[in-house]
Amino acid sequence: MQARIPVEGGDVVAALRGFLRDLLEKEVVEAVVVPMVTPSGAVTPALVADPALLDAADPLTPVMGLNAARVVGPVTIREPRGKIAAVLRPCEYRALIELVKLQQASLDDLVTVVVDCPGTYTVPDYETMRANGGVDREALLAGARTGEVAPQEGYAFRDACQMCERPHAEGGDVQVWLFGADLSAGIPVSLPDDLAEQLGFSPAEADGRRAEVVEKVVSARTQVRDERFAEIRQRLEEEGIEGVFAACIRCHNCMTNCPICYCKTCLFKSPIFEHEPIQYMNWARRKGAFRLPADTTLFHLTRLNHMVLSCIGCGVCTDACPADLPVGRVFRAVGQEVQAVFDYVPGRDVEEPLPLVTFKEDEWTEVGEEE
Amino acid sequence: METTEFEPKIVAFLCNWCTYTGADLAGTSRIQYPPNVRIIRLMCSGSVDPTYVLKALLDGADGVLIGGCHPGDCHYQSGNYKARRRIIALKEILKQAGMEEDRVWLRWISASEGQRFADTVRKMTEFLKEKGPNPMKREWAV
Amino acid sequence: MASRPRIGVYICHCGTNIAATVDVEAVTEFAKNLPGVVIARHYTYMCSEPGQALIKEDARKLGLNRVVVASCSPRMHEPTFRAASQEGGVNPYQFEMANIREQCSWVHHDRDEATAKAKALVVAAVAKAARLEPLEDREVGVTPGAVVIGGGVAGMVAALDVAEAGFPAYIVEKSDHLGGHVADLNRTFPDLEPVAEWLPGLIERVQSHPNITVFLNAQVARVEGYVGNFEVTVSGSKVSGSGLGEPGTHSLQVGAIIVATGYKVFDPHRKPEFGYGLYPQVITTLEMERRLAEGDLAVDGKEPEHVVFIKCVGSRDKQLGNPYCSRVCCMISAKQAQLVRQALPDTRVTVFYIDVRTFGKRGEEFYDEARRSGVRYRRGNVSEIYRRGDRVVVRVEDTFLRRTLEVEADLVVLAVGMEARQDTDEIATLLKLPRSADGFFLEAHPKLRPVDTAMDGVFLAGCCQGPKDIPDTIAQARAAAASALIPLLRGTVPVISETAVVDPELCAGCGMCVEVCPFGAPALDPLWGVSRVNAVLCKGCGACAVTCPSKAIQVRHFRPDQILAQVDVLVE
Repeated sequence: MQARIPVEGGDVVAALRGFLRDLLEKEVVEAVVVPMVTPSGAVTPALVADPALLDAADPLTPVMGLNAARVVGPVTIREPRGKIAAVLRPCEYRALIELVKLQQASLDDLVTVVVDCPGTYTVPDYETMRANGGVDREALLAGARTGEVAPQEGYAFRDACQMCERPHAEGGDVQVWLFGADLSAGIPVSLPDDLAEQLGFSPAEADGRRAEVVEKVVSARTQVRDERFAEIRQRLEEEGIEGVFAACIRCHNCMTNCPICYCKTCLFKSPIFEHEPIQYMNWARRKGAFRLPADTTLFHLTRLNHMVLSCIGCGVCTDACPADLPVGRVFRAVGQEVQAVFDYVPGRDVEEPLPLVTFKEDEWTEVGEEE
Repeated sequence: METTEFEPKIVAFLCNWCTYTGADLAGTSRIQYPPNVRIIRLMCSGSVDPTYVLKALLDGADGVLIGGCHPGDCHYQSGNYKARRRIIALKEILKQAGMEEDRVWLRWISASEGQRFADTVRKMTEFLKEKGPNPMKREWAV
Repeated sequence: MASRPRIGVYICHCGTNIAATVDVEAVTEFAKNLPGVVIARHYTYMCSEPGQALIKEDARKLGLNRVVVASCSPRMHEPTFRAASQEGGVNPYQFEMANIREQCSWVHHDRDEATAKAKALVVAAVAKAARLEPLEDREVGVTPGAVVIGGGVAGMVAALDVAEAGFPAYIVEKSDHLGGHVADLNRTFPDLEPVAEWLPGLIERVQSHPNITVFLNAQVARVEGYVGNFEVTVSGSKVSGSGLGEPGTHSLQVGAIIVATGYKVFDPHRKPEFGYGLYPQVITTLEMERRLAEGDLAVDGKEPEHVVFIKCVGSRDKQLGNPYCSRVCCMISAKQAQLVRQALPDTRVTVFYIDVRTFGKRGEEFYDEARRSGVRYRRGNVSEIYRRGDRVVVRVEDTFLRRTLEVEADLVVLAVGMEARQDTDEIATLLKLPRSADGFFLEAHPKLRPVDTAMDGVFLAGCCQGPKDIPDTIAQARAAAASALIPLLRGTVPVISETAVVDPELCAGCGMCVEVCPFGAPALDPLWGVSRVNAVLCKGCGACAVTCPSKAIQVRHFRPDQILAQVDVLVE
């Protein structure tokens, strides 16, 4: 059903808080995962059980330090668990779907609330903005309405957001539509009929401009994406992946912050990649010099191999990189082609099997048969 | 000045039941082929971890051959079908990452195809000679 | 964790098989300096008693805990050397082989290149051996009984031996009767004994044996399990005292499977130049059997003046894709030619041949007898048969005189060869059996394991493995039965020890290993959310390990550090 969350006095955030409070008070769920503003003013996801504390909830803060799918996993992964709702950006929802396939999260007893995302800032940028008078949320929502989304002057959206071609809510139980919406008339939502009934919503058509505005935003960002893809592909072609990642310090932040990298311990931190001192000597002699720490390019290529099919393009890897390497651009550009080979769209459908755990007998029948 | 011809190094991951046995058959049949290939026996082409292939390439192997049973003949029912997807994905990643995916060959060679094994090694050796050494061979910063 | 390696390396000369191409002394000297190597030796035949004794003695004296043998393929002698290592007190799984014969000395000429390659293979084997962990042998129980696919002579004889040893035997026959192709024969070479004197008795013994169950009009629909514990689903009719039962599906639990599916007679329509099916004068050896049995050799009511036999029809024919010899046609032709001479002393009999191959016991004598009885043997390739009046003309290239000749004949008998049956494919898929280039099933080793297959617990009997005469078929059938009886009599079969194992500390419980395993070996523990492997079900294929990004699941003996160590030294 399409409905509207009533907005009073133009306060969209308060309206959304009210919606979440309703979920708790009407016992739809027992707790909500939602970005919360801490007493010191930073933003972090939290699992909120007390409706009174939802005054600190801010689902529209345009900052993304981590992908919330990573925190939804542990609170849903196995029984017993509470019935919860999770407020997610589209890229977070897509990551969650991949994690569900990898059995690192569960959609059971979970109400996903996916909110259109006009764009986010990095944590350092957000902190700077906060120190310099705050974020102009009104301008951002106005941009979402028209499709002319621009970052605050003097700032840029996160690299991944600038080239995000899926900023709009797709899938999920509840969709909160900001694109094309006149929010003063209420926030358009799409939600299941039984939930709407439970919350006392009556049907209300969205104003119909969403598709058009989404297309506008998507096409602008796709253009940016394609330029950046072309640029990174050229670098990969010319410098090789070892060149693009040459400045890597092997902090593994990209892996640690990647919502898809779900291993308890990365292979590259396991004894398999602990080498004997004499081995390093052998390698140094073999090529004359040996880059340390060992296996850096192997690490990046293996990580591509392990998760690029599931890369949903949130870009937290790039933000997490202290060497400012274009990790997310590489993964997205490589991922686009590899995903296309298998006609796979990560995060599209929880029923869609991961490409490497399935097969068809009659596919690529020419492969391996060459003379 | 006389230069010695470049001799490519091929690391081959062969499944125990088909291609490794096919390589043995090439031996019992005394079918000659270039000595450029070094064989690692695995139980199934479906257990060839792309990390092994990547490691070989980054270490400087000029070619990597993955040999498995023909589709439908896998000793473990479907290992080769899974290998096929895995290697296709790997080759696409290599291509996108600016590496030379054509150094990686996947071939179905049965236990009775000693000749096909020998031919494959010969063709791969010729191809790699033509192509030249893996640039990773000299690159220390990987 | 594995103990500090003390490795013994043994380089085999294999007579001159290796030593003629590989400088074994140089490889030995080289091996001595490899990390962890305590001793390196070379010896004429490592697989011989004294060769094995070297390993045992060194292992005891030097306290070896790893053994590397560089010799033939591990598919040949790995069990031999594992046993020798064990006798020397080394865990048999801390053994590794370098295949420097099949994959080195036999395929390369250049001594320097072959020696360099042998060295590389030895380094890789040493690198892997150093990382191998001790494992224990494992066994599982065996379901008594065997399924025999095919109810011809091979299948019946194999089933009888299994049954006589006290185990249930199930014959699955595709047609509606037992006896196979032999039931269509009249007399057999070289004794000219009528088939009717022994085949019905054999069939009777099979049908009345309390341990044998026969299924007719039956096929194997599905095969599950592994050596010692197969579940074979048969669709067909069970034969009981009251006759043939209703068609149905039967599930048979057995420890072994004997494949005795036989052959297909070559269809001479595929050689249109011989006019088979066009001229009534042109028949096959099988049709001739019937005529000889019935004593009717007349063509158009007249006794033939000239009978011509043509050999190698459908055999030794590269254009047809049958380059092999069918092994029985020479003897069948000699037999039938003699019988014609006996029945019609005035009739001329000519046999056209490429070569005469009447090998085997009494074979050559039998050929002599045929010639003495007046059968004319002429060397020549028959190129064409065409009609002239009531007779046919056989056009032959005489390969001795290098000229073409034409002979008129009243009856031409095509000695048709054997081919792999069309359903060989289905059986091969069901049982995962490899086939040789000729289409017949491939034995595990042409000399040492002639009735074994690549699938443990599946054995080959008779012509499904390649053309054979009846004595060879029976010999092979009894060999297959004896091989099948080994697990049945032992009551247990060894299962691989190189199974998958999970490190629960590393496992994130993603379940991909569960998804990719074709045997249902790993399962997620519902309490802990980590994967656990049922080692009895695990076949060690490694599909799980490659799928697991953290390598929380690994296959023993094929662990990533072991493989990567091999890669590392091989690229050097």
